[in-house]
Formats: sequence, C-alpha cells, structure tokens
Amino acid sequence: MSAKLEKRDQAAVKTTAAEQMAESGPAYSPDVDIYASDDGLYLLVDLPGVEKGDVQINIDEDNTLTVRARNSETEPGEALIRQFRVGNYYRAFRIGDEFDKEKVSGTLENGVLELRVPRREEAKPKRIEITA
Amino acid sequence: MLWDTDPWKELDRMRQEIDGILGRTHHGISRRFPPINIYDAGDDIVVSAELPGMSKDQVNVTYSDGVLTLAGERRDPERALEGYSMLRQERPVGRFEKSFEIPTKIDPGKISARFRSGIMTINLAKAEEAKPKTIPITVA
Repeated sequence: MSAKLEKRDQAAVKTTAAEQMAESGPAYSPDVDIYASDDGLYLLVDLPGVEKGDVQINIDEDNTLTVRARNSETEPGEALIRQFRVGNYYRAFRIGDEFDKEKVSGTLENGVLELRVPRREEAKPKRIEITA
Repeated sequence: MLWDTDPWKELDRMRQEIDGILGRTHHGISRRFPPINIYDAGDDIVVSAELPGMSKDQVNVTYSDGVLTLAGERRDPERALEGYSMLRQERPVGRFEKSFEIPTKIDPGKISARFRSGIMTINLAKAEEAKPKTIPITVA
C-alpha cells in the first residue's frame, strides 16, 4: 500500500497516525524552544523524519499541551554507528489559563513544528492612552 | 573508575557531562550536532543526519579520502524575535562542521544525497571488492 493511500485511510477512520503510534514502541522527547510575547507563546519543536499529517496536538482540561508525532523514517540496514534513535516523538507542557486553547495553530516544515498558542483577548495587556 | 580528588573539579566534570547529555556547550553549537547514523545496507553505506529545519542548499557535503564531512549553519527563525522573549532553548543553533570516517571502501563516483523532513540521507556505493558476494555452489 502506498504511503499516500495509507494516510488517507487513517483520516477516514479518524484514527490519526499519532494515536496509533501511542500504542507502539517508545517515543523520544524532542528538543523544544519556547518564546513568549504579549500575544502568546511560540514554540519550535524539532521533529526530524515527521511528515505533515503525522502530528497530533492536544490540550486537555488540565491545560496540558501534548505533541505526539509519528516518525516515518526507516532504517536502511544494520547500524554501524548510532548517534540518534529513530522513533516517534512525545512531549507535554503545562500552560496557563491565560491561553486560548481553541486557537492553537501549527505548521510543520522540514521536520520542525511551529506552534502558536495565543493569549486570550482579556488576558492581553492593555495599553491605555493618556490623552489629557 | 578513579574519582578526582578535588570535589570541585569533579563537579565541573559532572557539569560538563550533563551539558554533553543536554547537547549543549558554552561555546555555541554542540559538537554532537548533527547526530548521524551510519548503516550497512548491503551494496551501499548509508549515512543519515538529523538536520531539522534545514534544507539541501544549507548543508555542504564533501567526501575525501574515506572521510565524509557535513558543514553548514543552523539558524533561529527570524520571526521569533521581535517582541518575543526566550523562555527555553534546547534546539542547537550555530555553525557546524562534522567529519567522520566511512568504515568501508566506497566508490567516490557513486555518492548521492537527499533531504526529507529534516533528515539528510547520503548513499555511498561500496567499491566492487567491498560488496557482499553470493557464490553459487553447484551440487554435483
């Protein structure tokens, strides 16, 4: 079965690749950079080997943000030297109440996930203009 | 293992070890970056390197006398910057150059590389004499 077809099938049954991977084998903790501004959080997550569609981002009621990703890299033979492991990825963060769970957005490019977690409007600092 | 008699030295050594585990040094990018795997794939030696966020025109690959070298620079995304403060930085950034010996004789004319999702894969065809041979035996 081609990889493309496989992905479409998974979408049809609403079981994401990331959910499937949760049950299979160990997951590695990816490197993360986190930036903050008045607008919200900006996260960069290194997910080498992960294709678009193989990332699942979730925020639960305890404000835990989880990133799961399926690595589609395969090992071509017997490893003579090994400095990294090939496997799926998992990482979780606690975030504050001031962030808007409904508006998290992400893009994946060249194996790096960019996540934006905006602050709620009412939690943003307000600039008060003093006119007189 | 012998312990250093100076506890401060020992602490320093442990700190360096932890820095190593975390993949960071105090001098910019870690020497561990990028991590590479080398595989024996029968007729080929395959080198893969984790270079997330990078693309093929940002990495220089050279082969000379049995040594493969990867060089380039990994940068922070520029948009991360204005109005943002950094809370955590784990991803290695900076210039790197990493060389390693290819453990098998290869044919330098048959090297190819490709990039997919932040992983660079370099195929090096083994020299004829280094390829695995199957010798058919006729049973009389």
